[in-house]
This record gives sequence, C-alpha cells and structure tokens, in this order.
Amino acid sequence: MSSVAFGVEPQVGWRRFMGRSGFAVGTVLACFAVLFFTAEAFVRATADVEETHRLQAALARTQQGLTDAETAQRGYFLTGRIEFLAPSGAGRKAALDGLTEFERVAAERELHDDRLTQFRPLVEAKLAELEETLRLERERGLAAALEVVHSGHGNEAMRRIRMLVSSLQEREAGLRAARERRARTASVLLFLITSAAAVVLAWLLWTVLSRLEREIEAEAAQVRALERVAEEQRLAREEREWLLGELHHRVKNSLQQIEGILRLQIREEISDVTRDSLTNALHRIMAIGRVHERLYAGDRPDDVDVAAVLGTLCEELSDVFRAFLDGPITSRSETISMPIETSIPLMLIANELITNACRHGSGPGKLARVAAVLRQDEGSWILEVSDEGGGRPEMADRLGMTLVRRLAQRIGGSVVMEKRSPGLSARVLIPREAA
Amino acid sequence: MILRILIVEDDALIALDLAMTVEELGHEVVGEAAEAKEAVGAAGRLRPDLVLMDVKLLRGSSGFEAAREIHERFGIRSLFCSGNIDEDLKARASGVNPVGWLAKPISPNALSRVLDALSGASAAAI
Repeated sequence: MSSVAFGVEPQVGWRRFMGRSGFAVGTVLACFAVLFFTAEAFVRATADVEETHRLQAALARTQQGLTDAETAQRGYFLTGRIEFLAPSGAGRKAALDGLTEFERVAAERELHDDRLTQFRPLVEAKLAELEETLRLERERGLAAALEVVHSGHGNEAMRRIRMLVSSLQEREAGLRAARERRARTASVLLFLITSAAAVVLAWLLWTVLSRLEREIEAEAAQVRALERVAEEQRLAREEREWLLGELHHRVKNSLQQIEGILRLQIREEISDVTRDSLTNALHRIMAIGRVHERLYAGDRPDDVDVAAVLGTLCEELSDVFRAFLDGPITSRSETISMPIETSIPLMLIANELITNACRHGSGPGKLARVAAVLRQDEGSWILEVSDEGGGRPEMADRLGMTLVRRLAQRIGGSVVMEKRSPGLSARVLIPREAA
Repeated sequence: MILRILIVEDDALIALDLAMTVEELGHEVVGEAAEAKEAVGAAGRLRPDLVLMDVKLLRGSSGFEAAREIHERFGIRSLFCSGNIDEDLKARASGVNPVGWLAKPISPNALSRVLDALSGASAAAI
C-alpha cells in the first residue's frame, strides 16, 4: 500500500465523479430540451388537425342550416300548413352560427383566400332570398312568392354555395390529411425520443451509481488497510514492550547476580579494609541498579523520574548506614525528569556524596544528619548534599571524589565543596542543555 | 522467632546469596529448589514457615503455580521476588495469598524488614 493511495486517490475520484455528474446534468438537460420541442410539435400538429375539423364542421353546419331552412319553406308552400315552416328559423340560425364559426376559425388561421370573402355574401343573399319569399307570401299571397322561386335566383345561390363549400371542404380534407400525417410522425418521434431519453438517463444513473459504489468500496478498502496497519503496529508495539520487559528482567537478574557475588565475597573477607572496599563497590553497583529499576517504570526510557530514584537511594542508604545516622537521610526533590545519559551519572554522584556524608559526617560522639536536595532552575539541575559533621574541605574517600568529579565532568557539570560550620556541603551543577 | 524458610530460585548464585543473607538475618534456610515441581515436593517434605519464591523458575515453570499448589495443599504462603513487579503481576498472584513482594535486585535491608515483620507477627500469633 503506497502512501499515495491514502491521501490523493479519493480526491481524484471525487473530481472525476463531479466531472461525470456535470456531464450527466448536461445530458439530462439536452434530453429534456429535445423532449420539450418534440412534444410541442406534437401538440401543435394535434391542434391543427382539430382546427381543420372545426372549419369543416362549420362549413357543413352552414350548408345544412340553409338546406333545412329552404326545405321547411318549400314544405310550407306545398302544404300551406304553418307547422312545416317551424324548422326554418332553426335552419337559418344554424346557418348564421356556422358562418360565424367558420369566419372565426379562418381568422385564427389567418387564411387569405378569395373564397372566404365570397362565402358570407352568398349565404346572406340566400338567407335574404328566403326572407323575401316569405314576406311576399305573407303580404301578396303564394303566387307572388312562387314567382320568386320560379325566377331560379334561390336555386342559383344555393348551387354556388354548394360549390364553394365543396371546394373548401376538399381543400380542408387535403390539409387535414397532411396535418394528421404530421401529428402521427410527431407522436412516433415523441415516443422514440422519450424511449431514447429513458435509456440515456438509466445508463447515466447506472454509471454514476456504480462509480459511487466503487468509490465507497475503495474508501472502505482504505479504511480496512489503515486498520490492518494500525493493528500490525499495535502488535509490533506490544511485542517490543514485551521484549523490553524481558530485557529489563534479565538486566535486573544480572545485577542481582553481581550484587550476590560481591556479597558472598564480602562475607568471606577477613580484612576489614578489603571488606570496606568491596562494600563500597557493592553500593556503587546498587546505585546503578536503583536507576535501572526506575528506567522502565515509566513509559519513556529517555525520561527518568530522578526524584523517585533519589528517594529510594536515600532510603537504601539510610538502612545501610543506620549505625552512623541520627535519623533517616532527608531527601527533597522537585518532580524532575531527565534523560538516562544524565540520570545514571547524577545518581552515582548522589550515591558517592551521600555515602561520604554518612560515613564522615558524624562528629566526635555525634551521629550524622544528612540531607540531599535536588532542584532545577532555568538553566541547570542542582544537587546538594550536606551533613553536619566535623567538616573537611574535601571528601575523605579519594576514589569517591575522583568518581564524582569525572562523572560531573562527563555530563558538563561542576562540583563545589563548601565547608560549613558545622559540616560539609557538596553542590553539583549540571547545565540542562548539555543533557 | 526464627523463621524456617524454603528458597525457590532458578539462579544458583542468587539462591546462594539469598540463603546467606537469610541466615545472616538470623533465620533458617530449610531447603532450596529451582523449579516448580521440586518446590512443591520440598514444601511438603520440609513444611517451612515461608517460601521465598521467584516468579520465573527453571525449565519455564511458573512460581505462581508452585505457590498456588503449596498454599492449597500445605497452607504455606510465599514471599514473591521478581524483577518486574507491576499491577498485572500482582493481579495474577492475588489468588495465591502472597505474604508480599520483593523487587529484584533484592537488598538485604528490604528482605530484613519483611522477615522482621513476619517473625514478629508469628511470635505474636504463638
């Protein structure tokens, strides 16, 4: 799993997805535009067919109305019975309504045809002729009316109306056939385009969804990979901790062995001087052991809690030198952490200074009172060990003094011995940046 | 009161040092063992007042198991010694009813304090 796979890929995927979405939105809009125009064409074609239909119907109505009116009038003249005249009014009205409807539709269509302008005068003339015949019959008797009929003007008008209507009907029939064809074509086109749009939309939805699913799956895989790495790291950390613990255990066992050997030898030793030397060596080794004990007590080996180590050291040495001491060694320390490179030498120094103070801090007939103080200021750590003994300018143990100076030097520190009354105070100053 | 002590420790040098330290402190070492089975056998045979028990024993055997068996069968309690005393270790030993814990490297003074307290308590009990 490369590092690139973690941070960058999802972004690229997301951008791709957005690009694909833009494409999808464009396609959807295009589909809708085409659909809209096709649908509009279809609706227009259908309306045209309807309009032709209305025009034809209006023509037929006019002609029928005139025919009805004339037939009713003839029936009345032939029989002389007034009830035969009754449908005449309705026929006239139908003819006029048909005419008005015809003119309205023609105006809507903005038709410019000579035949249109001829139609109204013809119809009105015919109606007037029918009116005139009836008037004559009423005023001057049937013979006068029949004279008008015999003149043939009415028949002539009716014939011209029939010709005009039939010619207009013919024209409308042709127009209607063409319009119906167009409407059919539009409907087929609409169906095809709707189907195509549906297919395109379905395809788009499918690609976008499948891409999204792939993205989600890829992200889930990344999360799984990260979790696996975290788990591996956790196991590695646990193993490291276990190994460290094991190592720590063995080091302590080894220190115990070394201390054991020294103690065995001290027990065997007859000479007091040699025994004393060996005991000093034992204590020096034990001081290393104390620091080591604290080394792995904390979570971070580079951060040793020296305050705690100093406390333990003072307790141990209080036990060892019980016979020399007026009460336990007092230790005071701020909470100070320092790296192992500094803390081991510093605790060995403390061991030397406290041991020296215990052994030589007692005056004649007087037990030693020993105190160890560890503190820090801005630039340095300061260890101060004091006793209230007889007071010597230097440590009594020459090896001890050498060790203290060499160890302090190694960590960039300095040692100041100060004679007090009573006693001796040793101050070790270690610059913090040297650590 | 003088305590009769069984030392269970896989390292010969440390066992020797412990034995001499115990005797210097005025108590009696009744026996030594280096692994769990041997320790249980010795405890049954010698019936000490106390077992000084290392946590890790020879051939991978466990000081806890030995201490548990010794406690269950003979009612003898153990004083555990280990390089790494932590809460986990103490939790594992809680069922064994240990006398206490000593951190390695064991200082004679620490051992002396524990044994003094025990012998005082035993004397008071008797």
